[in-house]
Amino acid sequence: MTSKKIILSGSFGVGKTSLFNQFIYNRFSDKYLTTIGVKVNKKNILVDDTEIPLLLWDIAGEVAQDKVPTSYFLGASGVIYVFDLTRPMTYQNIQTDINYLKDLLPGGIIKIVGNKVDLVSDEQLENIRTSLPITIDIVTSAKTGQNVEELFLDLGKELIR
Amino acid sequence: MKDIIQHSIGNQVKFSQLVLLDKEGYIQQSCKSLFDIAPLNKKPIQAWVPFIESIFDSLLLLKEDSSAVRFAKIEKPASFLPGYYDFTFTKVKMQDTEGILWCIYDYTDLYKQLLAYQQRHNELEIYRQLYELGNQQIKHSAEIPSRKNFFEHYIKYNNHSNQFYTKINHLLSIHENPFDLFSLLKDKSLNASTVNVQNTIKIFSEIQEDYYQLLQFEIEKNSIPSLLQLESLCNHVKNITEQKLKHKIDVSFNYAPIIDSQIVAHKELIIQVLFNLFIIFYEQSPQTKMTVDFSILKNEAHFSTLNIAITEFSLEQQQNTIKQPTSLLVRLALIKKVLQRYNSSIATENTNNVPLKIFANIPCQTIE
Repeated sequence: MTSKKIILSGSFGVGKTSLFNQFIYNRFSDKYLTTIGVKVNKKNILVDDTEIPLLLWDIAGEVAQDKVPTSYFLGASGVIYVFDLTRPMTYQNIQTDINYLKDLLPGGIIKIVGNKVDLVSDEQLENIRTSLPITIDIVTSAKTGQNVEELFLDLGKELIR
Repeated sequence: MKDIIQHSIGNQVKFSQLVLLDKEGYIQQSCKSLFDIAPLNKKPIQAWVPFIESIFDSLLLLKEDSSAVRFAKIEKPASFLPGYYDFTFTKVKMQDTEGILWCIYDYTDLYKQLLAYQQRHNELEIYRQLYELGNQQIKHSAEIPSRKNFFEHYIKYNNHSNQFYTKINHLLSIHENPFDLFSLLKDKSLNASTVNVQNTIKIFSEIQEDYYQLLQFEIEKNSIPSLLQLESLCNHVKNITEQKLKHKIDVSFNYAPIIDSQIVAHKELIIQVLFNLFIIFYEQSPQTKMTVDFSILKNEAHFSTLNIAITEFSLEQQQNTIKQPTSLLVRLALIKKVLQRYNSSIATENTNNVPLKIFANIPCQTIE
């Protein structure tokens, strides 16, 4: 199968690089290190006996998606939109951001991910879910690894669908 | 390859390495200034550089007359490229076939400084957001910084910003500094007297401060503006100018309604020119409202001020430093210098009792 380009996008400090590192290298650091541009790495996943080479783009966080250079989306098969469950500022424009991404990438896969689930209680998570105008596809913790593998497997399934 | 290099030099393009790829991704030629291509010849470049693998199919779809596709701040794209780079890709004709010209710009030093700055900036903003959550007494499991921690962080950020400014100033003097302080100081017309030189230095110090503000803006919004973003770009420059002046300015922007393609222009250039025009307008014009007319004609972004009324003045008469306010002179000279660097032009029009107009043309590329 040909490789698939996937972009990790969202505001800064939401854990895009941590998800990237957890998925690619199985490692996590508590220290926040900002990304100023783009870093690309590759990992193959196996979905229903099909090997899918994923080319992941970890890009600099932007408070709004229309600030991301449009050239980044060239040839992309999907976007993982990450927000931080502990910082409302990172999901206050989620509807606008997702609409923008859908327009930019018609037919592309968009996964909405709430990260840092290890830092919120079940009650808080439920409150966030009900307050959002859009459905969260999956909640993850790059720190504990919770749902990280699942996120990419779900994505893989949609890619071969 | 020689033709390409000469062509690039002729267009004042600076690059660190040029690599010519065939349609399969094999390296055909390279100037080998950053890395040796010999070990890479066994496989197509996609096998070595995941970044290129992820976009190669799209690059093949480019047309020969398409503008270069640019990607900025690429971190460690391969083991043989361990720093930070900008890449551009252009479809080129190679004898009886086609290929991709890959230009690599090594900005490792500069981007490392930007990274350090951005790190502090983001950390502070995250701290601020969490701090405000704490103040609003929202129940939250995330770590809420104390006031002490917040201000300690803020002080560190400020100290770091100062260091950043010093370093960036040095780096910009190595790279292309659009303000070109020293060449302007050498300008005999501005060097006429010690007072003029001192004034020029003083004004340039202020301009440098302005530049840092603009640079911060650049860092925050490093995307190339599309026409849809142009209005917000102009408004942002207006806001920056108002902050600098500590005063509101009344500026409106006109856009040609028929433009439906995206523009890839020299964003920094637009910012510099607009910023300085706004200052000139505020400091020199008796008018209270300024209109900037913006249009695109072929490969040229054209903007003109419709009613900036300043005293009679011609760019060709800069020697007349006695009658003209130094600030105006320097700012116009600055705009002229910056525009010249980009092979752009500026002109003024002034008839009796009619407000002076300033026209600026900036080369740009459009994407279909």
